[in-house]
Amino acid sequence: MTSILLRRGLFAIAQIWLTITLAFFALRLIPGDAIQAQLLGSGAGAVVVENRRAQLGLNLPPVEQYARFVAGLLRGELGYSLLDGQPVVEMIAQRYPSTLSLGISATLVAGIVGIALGAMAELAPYKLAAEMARGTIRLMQSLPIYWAGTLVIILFADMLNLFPPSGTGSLGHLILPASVLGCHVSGGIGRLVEGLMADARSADYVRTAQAKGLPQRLVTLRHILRPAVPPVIVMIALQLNFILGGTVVIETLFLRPGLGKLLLDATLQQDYPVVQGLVILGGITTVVVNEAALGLRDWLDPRLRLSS
Amino acid sequence: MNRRTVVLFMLLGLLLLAPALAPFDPMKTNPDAQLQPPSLSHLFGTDYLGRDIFSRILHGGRRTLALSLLALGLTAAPGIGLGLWAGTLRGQAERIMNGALNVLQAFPSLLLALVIVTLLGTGPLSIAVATGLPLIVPFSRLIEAATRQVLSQEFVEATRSLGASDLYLVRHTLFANIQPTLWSTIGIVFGFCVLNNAALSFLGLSGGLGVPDWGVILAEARFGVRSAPWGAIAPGAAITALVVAVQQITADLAESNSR
Repeated sequence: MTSILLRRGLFAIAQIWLTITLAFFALRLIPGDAIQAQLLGSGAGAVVVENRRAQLGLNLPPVEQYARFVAGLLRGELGYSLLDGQPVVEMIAQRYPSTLSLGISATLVAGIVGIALGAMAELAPYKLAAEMARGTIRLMQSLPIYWAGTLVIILFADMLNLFPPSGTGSLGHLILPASVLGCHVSGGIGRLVEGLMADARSADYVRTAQAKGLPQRLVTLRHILRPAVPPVIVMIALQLNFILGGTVVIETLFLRPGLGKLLLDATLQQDYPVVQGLVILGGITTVVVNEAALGLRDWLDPRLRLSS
Repeated sequence: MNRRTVVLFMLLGLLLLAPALAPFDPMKTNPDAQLQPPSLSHLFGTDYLGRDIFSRILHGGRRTLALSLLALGLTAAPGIGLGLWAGTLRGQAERIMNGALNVLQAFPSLLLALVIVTLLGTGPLSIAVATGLPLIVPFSRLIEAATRQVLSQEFVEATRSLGASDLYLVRHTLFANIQPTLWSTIGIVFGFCVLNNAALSFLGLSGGLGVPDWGVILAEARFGVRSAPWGAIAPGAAITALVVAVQQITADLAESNSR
């Protein structure tokens, strides 16, 4: 078990290092002269551009820039915005609480809705209920999130006036965006749960359990639902990939000042250090959550726990 | 020719014939006809500038379709190559490739797309690139699995022992047998191309200038959504219909090829 965790830890560190390196070289070296592009618009002369470059350390050799960048990261620095010189770390710190609450509540919605739909699609005693659950899963998977979000705003905010259409602050502001984002990623979870239930129902050990006279309720609980827990945990963690992408759309749609909106604005303005900082943050978050979920699965699943 | 194929061909026909079919100029604004509800002259109503939404959808679909096909090409060519190559690796090389692809796949694809747009600047071509490149690894993963599965079967061994060259094996044995996977993968990935392409243009990264595009039309429907909510329905429905139709048809193709 320890060796598995150790291997996971090493793999995670390698992934994080690769993310940082790619983010650095992709965004610092290819664009040639971002500073010039940024400052020329404001009519700055060559001297100003040169000074700004020197100030940001952009005239140093690439390897030295990389070393400084990594050293800065270890001190918790992510550079400065090209637009107003604000530290990227500060910009992120101001906006992350809103994105964090959106992400966590959306993940909760996704887990609950996905598991409920998936279990219903296979285990519901009525055919109609099962069919409806199956249809809903397919619908969640094929509806584009930006369309679903737009329709939800029209219906629940504009027409029914149940929730505020945009902004942050209260629980009411969080319900619509978290539901849209959560339901959007719940389709994949539902599909997995549905498949696992179907496999388990025809498995030999379930037939054995039924044959020895175990009540169906206990068969469902212990032999069908329980083995599905580890893979479902991993699947929920893997949805973070889509949640992070989804926050960009959702925060734009619901006008929430979070990290997704910050990333979009930085992309539109080609503000490299901000994009870089957010990409590194997103990459590290993904790696940590995925590896933690895989570790949890290895620990929960006795077949994997005992095999090492 | 089943019902799904008919739906897809009708959609494609409508888009190809857009200039002939569209009743209005998709760019022409009309201050006297803003945010009108659907009627006989404006089938899907008009937007906040008085432009005919039906004409914009027809014209916009051409651009969405063209950019999605370009993105599909940008993913499919390297994706198939990488997948076939990865599928033939064994031992240490397989482990290294597996680790590298895992690392790349773990990275959120929309973040990658935004990095690409940051580098290339906004515009239709850069969103096609930003849509296509992040899908290469997922594409290659599906092809890799199919390749590995085909190569592990006994008839491949038998063909080889009959004296077939590697080239013959790839062309006649491998290709013939991964075709079902290839079709369904192309369908799934094309669906993602349409969805992500529309997402990026919805976010305002396609350069704008009023050129219709399904993502842009949907984004613009938010202006005046209170008094004209119908404007948001048609563009989203068009995106969803195209994605679902293509995925269903390629799934059917995969099934008929696997028999």
